[in-house]
Amino acid sequence: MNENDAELSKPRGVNLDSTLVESTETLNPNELPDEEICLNVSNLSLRYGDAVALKDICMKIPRQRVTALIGPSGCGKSTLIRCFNRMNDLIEGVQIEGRIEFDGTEIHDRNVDVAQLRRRVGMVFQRPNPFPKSVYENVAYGLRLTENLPRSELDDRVEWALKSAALWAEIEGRLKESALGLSGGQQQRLVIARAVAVKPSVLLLDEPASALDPLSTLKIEELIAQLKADYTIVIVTHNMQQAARVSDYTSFLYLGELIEFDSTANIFLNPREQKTEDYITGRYG
Amino acid sequence: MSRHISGEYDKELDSLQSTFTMLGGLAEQQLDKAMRAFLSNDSNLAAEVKNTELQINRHALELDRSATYVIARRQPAAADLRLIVGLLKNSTDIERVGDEAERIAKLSNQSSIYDPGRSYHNELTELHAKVSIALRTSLDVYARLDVDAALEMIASDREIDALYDTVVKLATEEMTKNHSTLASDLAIIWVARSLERIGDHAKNICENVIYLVHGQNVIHNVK
Repeated sequence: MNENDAELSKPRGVNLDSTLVESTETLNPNELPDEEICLNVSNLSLRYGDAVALKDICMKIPRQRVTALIGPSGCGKSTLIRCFNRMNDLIEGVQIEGRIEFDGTEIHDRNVDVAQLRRRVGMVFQRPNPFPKSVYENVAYGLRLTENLPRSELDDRVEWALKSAALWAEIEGRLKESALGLSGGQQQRLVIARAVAVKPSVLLLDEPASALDPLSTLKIEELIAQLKADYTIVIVTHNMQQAARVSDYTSFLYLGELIEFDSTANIFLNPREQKTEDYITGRYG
Repeated sequence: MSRHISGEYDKELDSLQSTFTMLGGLAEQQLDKAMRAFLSNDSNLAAEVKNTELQINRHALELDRSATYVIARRQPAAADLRLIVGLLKNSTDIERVGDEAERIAKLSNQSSIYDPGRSYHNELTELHAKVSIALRTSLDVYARLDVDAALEMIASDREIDALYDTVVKLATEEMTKNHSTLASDLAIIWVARSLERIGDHAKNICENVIYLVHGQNVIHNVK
C-alpha cells in the first residue's frame, strides 16, 4: 500500500494515532498481499458499439475465495463477469481493451482456446438452464465432449458432481428422469453440478439465486460456502445481504467504473466511498 | 447524510434517535436531582429520582426492542448499522447513568445532613460540575456527531478521575481523624464513585460517536 492509499484508509477528518485498538484497514484492489491471485484484471474497458459498459477496471480476484460484484442495474457487473470466460465475444460490435490474466495467461491471446477457457471458467446464469435431457445426461454432457471416460468412471464423476452440488441425496433415484421435472432450486444446483463436473478452476455465478425461493436460495448460498474450498467463485448479485453473507471480497461498480473493492466486512461496515455507502444503505437514486 | 429511498426507514431511525434524546435528557435531570437530594438530604426529591429511574428503564427497554425490530426489518449496513449499534450501546450507558443517579439519591436517606464545611466539599462540588458538563457534552456530541468535541471530552475524563481520587483521599483522611462522621464520609466516597462512573459512561458515549462516524473503535485506549 502506498502513502496515498494509507492516507485513504484513515478515518476522514480525524487525527487518530496509533493508540487505536482496532483499525479497519482497507484494501487496495491492486494489492492483496495475503492472497494467491487467480484472475488479474488490468485497465479493462469494454464498449458495445458507442456505449461504454466498463471503464478502466483494475482488480484482482483471489483464488478459492468468493468475490461479489454489486451495483445498480446497468453498472456493468454482468458485463464484467462475462469477460472472465469471454462470453462477450459472442456479442456483435463489442470492443475490449485491457488485460485479463487467468493463472498468469492473458485470456485474449490468439493462442488461447476459448472452449478450453470456458471449461476452466464455468458459468451459471440467473435462470436455471438444464438441457432437455435426463439428470444424468445433463451432468455427463460436458464430460462426454471433453473427456473420453469409460462408463464406470463417467458414473463416478456424475455422482461426484451431484454430491459436490449438494443434490445427490435428493435425486439419487431420479437420474434417468428429465431434468426439467426438478424444482427450480434443484435445477440450479444441477446446473452447478454440470459446471463442476468438468473440474473448472473458476465458477462465475450471475445472480444464481434471484429466480429461486428463500429456502432454495439458502441451499445455493450454503453450496457456495462449500465450493469455495475448491474453486474461485465470482458472484453477481442484486441482493446485498446475499453478497454480505457469501462473499469474502466485494466490488461495487457504478456506471461501468469500479468504485470500491475491499473485504466484504469493510464494505458492509465502513465503506470508504460515499457512493458505496449510499448504495448499500439504500440512499442511492 | 442524505435520506433513504424508503421514507419509512428514515422515520424508524428518527424515532430511535428521538427516544434516545429523551432518555439523555431524563438522565441529565436525574443527576441534577440526585445530587440536590443528597446535598440537601431531601427525601422527597430522592423518591422522585427513584420514580423517574423506572421511566428510564422502560424507555431504554423500548429503545432496545425498537432497534432490534429495525435490524430485523431493514438489515441495515454501514453507517445505518453503526448508528443502531451505537444507539444500543449509548442506551445502555444512559440507563446506567440513571442507575448511578439513583444510588446517589438513595445515599441521601442514609447519611446525616451534608456539611459543606468538610475538607472535600470544594473537590466534590467541582467533580459534580465536571461530570454534569461531561454528560451534557456527550449528549451534544452525539446529537451533532462532532468527533473533535468527542476526542476533547474523552481526554478530559482524566480530570474527573483525578478529582475522584482527591475526594476519596480527603474523605479517607476525615474518617481516620474523626470516627463520628464515618457514615457520612463513607457516603461521600460512594457518591464520588457514582459521579466518576457517570463520567465514564459519558466518555463511552463519545467513543461510540467516533465509531458511529468513522467506524473506528477507540474504546479502552485513547490518549
